[in-house]
Amino acid sequence: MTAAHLSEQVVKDKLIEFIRETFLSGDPDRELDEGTPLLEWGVIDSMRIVVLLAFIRRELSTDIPMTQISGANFRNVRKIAALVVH
Amino acid sequence: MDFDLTAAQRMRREAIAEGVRTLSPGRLRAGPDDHFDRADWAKAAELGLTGLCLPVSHGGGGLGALDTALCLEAFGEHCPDTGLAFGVAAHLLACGVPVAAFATPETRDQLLLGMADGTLIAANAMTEAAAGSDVGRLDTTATVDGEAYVLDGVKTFASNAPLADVLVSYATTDRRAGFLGISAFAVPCELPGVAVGDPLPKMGLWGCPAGEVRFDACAVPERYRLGEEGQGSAVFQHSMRWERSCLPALYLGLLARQLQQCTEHAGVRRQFGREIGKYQAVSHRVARMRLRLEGARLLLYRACWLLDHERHDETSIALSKTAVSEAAVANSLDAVQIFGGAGYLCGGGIEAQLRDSIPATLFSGTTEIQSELIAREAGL
Repeated sequence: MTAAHLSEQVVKDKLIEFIRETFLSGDPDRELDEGTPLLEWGVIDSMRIVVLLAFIRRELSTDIPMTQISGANFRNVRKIAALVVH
Repeated sequence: MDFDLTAAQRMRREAIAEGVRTLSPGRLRAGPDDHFDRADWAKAAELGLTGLCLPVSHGGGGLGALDTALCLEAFGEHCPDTGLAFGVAAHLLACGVPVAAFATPETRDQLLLGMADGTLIAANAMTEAAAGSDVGRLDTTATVDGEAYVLDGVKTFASNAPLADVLVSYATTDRRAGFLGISAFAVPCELPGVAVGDPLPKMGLWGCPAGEVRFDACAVPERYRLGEEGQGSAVFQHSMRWERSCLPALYLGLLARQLQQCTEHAGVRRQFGREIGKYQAVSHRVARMRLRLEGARLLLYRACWLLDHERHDETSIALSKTAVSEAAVANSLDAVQIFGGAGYLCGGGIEAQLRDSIPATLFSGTTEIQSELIAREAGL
């Protein structure tokens, strides 16, 4: 399954909205953007990635194979969206 | 849906039961310093237990998760040395599985045959003093130096380490990448810069020695890296998926043996003129023990079945691991109560079951972490 039917921009928007609501208490100051270093800043850790992967599986119909879970692919929203779409 | 074991599954379990009776690997341990040795290990290996799910091409049994669990269950039921069963299962699941799945062909050829046939003992060295449940930030570092990674840091609670030939370990290669900046390595213990400490005195699982591992400028050639650089968390998750699914099966075996012991005891021990099993205070306790065991067993079989069908279901695994470990502690407390003073005495085997069960709620992710996984996957 892939989210090939969704555009990269739509995926980015959905990811940003999900990460804001789920991990950043709504991100009231709108600090998160598609280039925010999610791993370096600890926005995504080993527990949260389980939640994120479940979201991607459920809402974006994409099962990300384990071999694709890397620092490069999850660096920021831009990278994750590219992974989901391609 | 079919709840019967196949003929092949029954035969494998009977062979293990018979082999344990004949070879007697391990024994009830006398104290926290009484560990298994290579002779005990070799007997377990002779029964194929060190390679159950490793590839046939490298001397393993080629079994899936459910079949592996069924074998470990049989081993746990018939082997009184739960520490040995634990050590063998940790070697297989936390070390053999990731080496089989992620090692370079060269490293796989060098290590896996020995790990499968038990001539090499492996230890998983992940835990650090400051990184127990939260393995996202490891103080142990691996720095690239030419064709090697130089490892520095201290690991603790590495089961089997004092006897190990090879370590599966994890270190930070890119601090900026958070938990995805961790890389995995198979480290032969003979490499300069590896030092293993004395066995730690523990409450239970006495048979299995666990110790500290110190890496001091230990140069590990690149071919020993497991998976890609930065893939260590995925390697670890993969090994934990197998360990959490299959390893608790040895406790199902322990619980089956214990239930049998309790039922027999309740049928012969007489107080106030009749067997204690005639008192509902005892018989209902036995009924509840059976309920916990059978419920946990079904959850474990299903978690393994899902793993075999590549349906990645962390919740099912967490449910199963929690159910088995909590059943082990609850039933072991019940067993002490049913045996009374005899259950409290050292050497009888009943108090050992309780001491051996406690760590099941801690290792491979505490009960709290399992609950967290379940809750988070539910979107809470």
